[in-house]
Amino acid sequence: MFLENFEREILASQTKPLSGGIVASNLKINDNRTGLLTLTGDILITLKVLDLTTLGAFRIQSLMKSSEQTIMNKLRGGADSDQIIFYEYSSVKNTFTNKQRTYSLKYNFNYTAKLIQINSLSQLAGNDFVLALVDGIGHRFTDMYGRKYVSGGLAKKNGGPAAVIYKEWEKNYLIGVHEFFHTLGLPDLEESGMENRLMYHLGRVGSNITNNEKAAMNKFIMYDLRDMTKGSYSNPGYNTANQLRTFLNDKSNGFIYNKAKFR
Amino acid sequence: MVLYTIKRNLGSIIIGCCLLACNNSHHTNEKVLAVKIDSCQLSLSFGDAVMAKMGECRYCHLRGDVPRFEENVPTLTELAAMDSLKISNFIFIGGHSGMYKESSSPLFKRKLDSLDDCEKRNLIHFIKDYKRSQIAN
Ligand SMILES: [Zn+2]
Repeated sequence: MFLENFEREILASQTKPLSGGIVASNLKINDNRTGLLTLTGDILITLKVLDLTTLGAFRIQSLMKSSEQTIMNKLRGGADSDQIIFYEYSSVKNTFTNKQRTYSLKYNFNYTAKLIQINSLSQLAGNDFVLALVDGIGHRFTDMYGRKYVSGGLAKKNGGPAAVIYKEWEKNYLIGVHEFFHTLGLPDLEESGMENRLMYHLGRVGSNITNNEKAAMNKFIMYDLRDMTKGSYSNPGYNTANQLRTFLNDKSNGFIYNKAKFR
Repeated sequence: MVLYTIKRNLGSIIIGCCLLACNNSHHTNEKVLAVKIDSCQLSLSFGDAVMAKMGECRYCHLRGDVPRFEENVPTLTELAAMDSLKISNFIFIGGHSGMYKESSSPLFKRKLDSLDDCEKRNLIHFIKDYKRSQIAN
């Protein structure tokens, strides 16, 4: 009985299309045999956008389009990782052995990004990414030089929810992309001379993403290299709806939004 | 993150002051020490870069919210829960004895030896961040 169920579940998981924030297919590792591994495949990044503003987000469609384009452009074009110490890859068996090996790693995924507007929490799966549009954020932060700032957006790094003040997003759609890139694991930049970078966050954001940042996001997206040998992949659950609830209700974040829309 | 940085810096200043008090007669030492304290800024992006330079710890020490790599390999979140000294021992002395044994990984040893004090502190600062709120603006 138990085994039967188990079998059925396995069959179901094989036929069910993968879903979630990260969906990857046609994954392949190319080993040039002189120490360079190139990772290829098609990866779809989906970000669900939830409007929690009181007055409504009238320009939401065009802002979502611009953000989608930018996320795609920033992820595309490949990225080189620093020399990595990992396990030896056997291309004959398409598996990693347990022998240690040093590689240069090239990410060369074909990225597509999709932003989808949702109207209720029921449209949010446990392994989705989410960007909430809010009226205001009370959270203040201090930079490395001791100066105080207000927040245009806020995010929980490494898979967590992101939020942006709709009025600020309207002024500069890149703020939303900046917050989403926190979800993909990137930290903020505060050093002077970095004002043109997308992850700079002191009073303005730039638009540049470096090779290292691109590599870091690729690393987040394909976090366990052994998944590359499975051909397809979708990210594990982040318990997104619950995380969003906790994030929005956390008093220290100071979110102002239309609570009636959070359903 | 910011609060933590301030605490760390305060810590350094306090240690610095104690050392200054002990070495009050050696004026040149004071200057060197003061410059050293001020020049190491803790930043997450710097710590991130140090981790990548080390050969990338995150392929084995996976994030805490995903299945772990192997039973005996701590996740990043578990590492972050240790105090700084314990993390430092794990990375730089003995604790890191699996595939990174000095004998089997001269490259890793070379990479370790190439890190200066400020890089080490930033690496630990970055690891510790996985246990903090994870909130970014
Ligand atoms: Zn930020």
